[in-house]
Amino acid sequence: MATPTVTVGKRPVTWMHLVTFAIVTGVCTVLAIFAVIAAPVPPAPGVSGLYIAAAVYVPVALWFGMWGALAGYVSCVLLGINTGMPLLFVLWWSVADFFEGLVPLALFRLFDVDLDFKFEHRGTANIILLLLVVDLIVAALCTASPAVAGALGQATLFGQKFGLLYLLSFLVAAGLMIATIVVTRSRAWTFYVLFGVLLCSIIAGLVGASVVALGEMSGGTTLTLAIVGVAIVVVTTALAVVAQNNPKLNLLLYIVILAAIVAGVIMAIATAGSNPAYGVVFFGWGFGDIVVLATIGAMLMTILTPFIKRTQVYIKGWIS
Amino acid sequence: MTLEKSLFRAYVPPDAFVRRMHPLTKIAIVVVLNLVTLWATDPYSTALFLAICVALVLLSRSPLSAIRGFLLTLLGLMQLLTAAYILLSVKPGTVTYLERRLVLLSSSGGELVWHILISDRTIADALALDMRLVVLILAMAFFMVTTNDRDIVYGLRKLRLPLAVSLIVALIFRAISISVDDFYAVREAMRAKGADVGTGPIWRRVRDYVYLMVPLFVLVVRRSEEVSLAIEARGIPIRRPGRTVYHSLPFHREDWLLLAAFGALLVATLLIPRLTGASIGAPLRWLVESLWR
Repeated sequence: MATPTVTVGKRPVTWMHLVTFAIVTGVCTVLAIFAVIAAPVPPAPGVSGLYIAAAVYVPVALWFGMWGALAGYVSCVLLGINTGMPLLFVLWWSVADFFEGLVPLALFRLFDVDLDFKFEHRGTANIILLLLVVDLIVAALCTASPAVAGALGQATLFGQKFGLLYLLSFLVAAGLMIATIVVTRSRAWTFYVLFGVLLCSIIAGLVGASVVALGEMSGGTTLTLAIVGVAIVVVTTALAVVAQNNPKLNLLLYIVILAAIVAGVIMAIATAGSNPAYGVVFFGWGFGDIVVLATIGAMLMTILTPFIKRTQVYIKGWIS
Repeated sequence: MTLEKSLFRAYVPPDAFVRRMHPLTKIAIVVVLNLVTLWATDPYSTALFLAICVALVLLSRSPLSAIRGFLLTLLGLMQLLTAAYILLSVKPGTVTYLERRLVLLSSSGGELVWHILISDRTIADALALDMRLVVLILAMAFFMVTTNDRDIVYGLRKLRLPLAVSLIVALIFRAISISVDDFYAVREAMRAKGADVGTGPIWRRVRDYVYLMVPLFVLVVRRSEEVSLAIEARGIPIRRPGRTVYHSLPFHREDWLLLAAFGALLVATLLIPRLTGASIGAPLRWLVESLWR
């Protein structure tokens, strides 16, 4: 019997892709609910400081393409409505987890990076990554509070006064990034550290932290945000379906993804940036994600990628 | 999973009222409770919705006891969040119970201050937040313990959604309970081999979770292959229409009554404040204040 398929470009979408999306969503939902119960970030319900599911969103997006990013969105919606968040809130808020998978996926596809995590000095690379995470947490604390930034005294640079700890944290971060590239000489690992750990967590944190202000907004604003959230997910996914194997539309897809991310971040900061709890939740969200992606996510990527790449569920394009 | 077992593995007798309720009615109830708690956020309105939700759960005899542990954990977590809300939010009210400025760190860069302000408004808002979370958790638990994956397929088919979409949505819910089972199975297998999973310092727990997640993902791949082959073997198309279903779930009189009642609640929550300037919880407020006096 012929396999029922939907032909999109040259590669067809099969039941295997849809079923993988459903099962991965289920796994992510369980991990997300567990994370929120184990390590909540008050005062925002449904936010976790050790969001284990985030460690899965990036690997699944890189393995299963757009289905992985969608699994992040849907599992976050299910997490929200199971832990007492109103539906309209979670339709907007879950965009953060959609971006978490979409950002590294888009950048890996844009620069055509093969998921090859075979490199020497793996132990050294892991140590550098952990040091980088600690350093970035210090940098974020310094950004959040001038008191922490000035804990080691003040320094003057280009005529401006900065906290010494603040400056040191940025110098160390730059040094560690260079060390990562020199030690591993792996394109996949460098991209994963830059975009799959750092950039996607910061973007997800900026968007997701807007949850703190949702309860204080009017019904109309909440509804607008929910519609924008769903529109971002639907438009980017639909465009990815069309852009599969179509280089002309690929460029448009990248532009739409960039526009969606920029719009999402701006809307989140505009609606919630003035709330005093925004910084706390951003810190808990963003750095919780960085920690799990640098540890659990990195280990999953290096251990499971060779296995996944040998199976039929591995996706080389956007959706197939 | 048999027909009588729900998404949260609770046993629902075939003759129970909730078992006969149409899945779309249950979805509508959850959506209405979601919307009304969002629109009317004062403590009295939220208390009214909580009372309606508890009455619904009790009258329908939903087997929530099957997920008692999960519910108690979530409700305990809500109390923690409420306490954090009280301590972290700064909302001046008419009466101030406590106000403190704690200097956490002082350096050449300035001071890191924690401003605690507990007023009557903080308490009222925290109480409303707490009750709202309980309403939403109970509503979703009501849906999850009384509905199975077949119900979801029938319900979504009734909305004229394609079979593939209905099947995938049902599979997502089914995958949640399968993942929980797999998680425990892998953990018990590791324990049977002498691994001390989930204890010790944080770095060891993180390592243990990776050890747990690797077989979980291998199972994901295997299950994806098995389930997709099973679907293909049954000739279910992804896009082509024409597939019919043997079972049908008609709407009963109770479904129409419940839909009408919750529709009225939604309309009242929207209209009463516009027409009278008071919230839907105003009668409850009047009752409480009368009894208080």
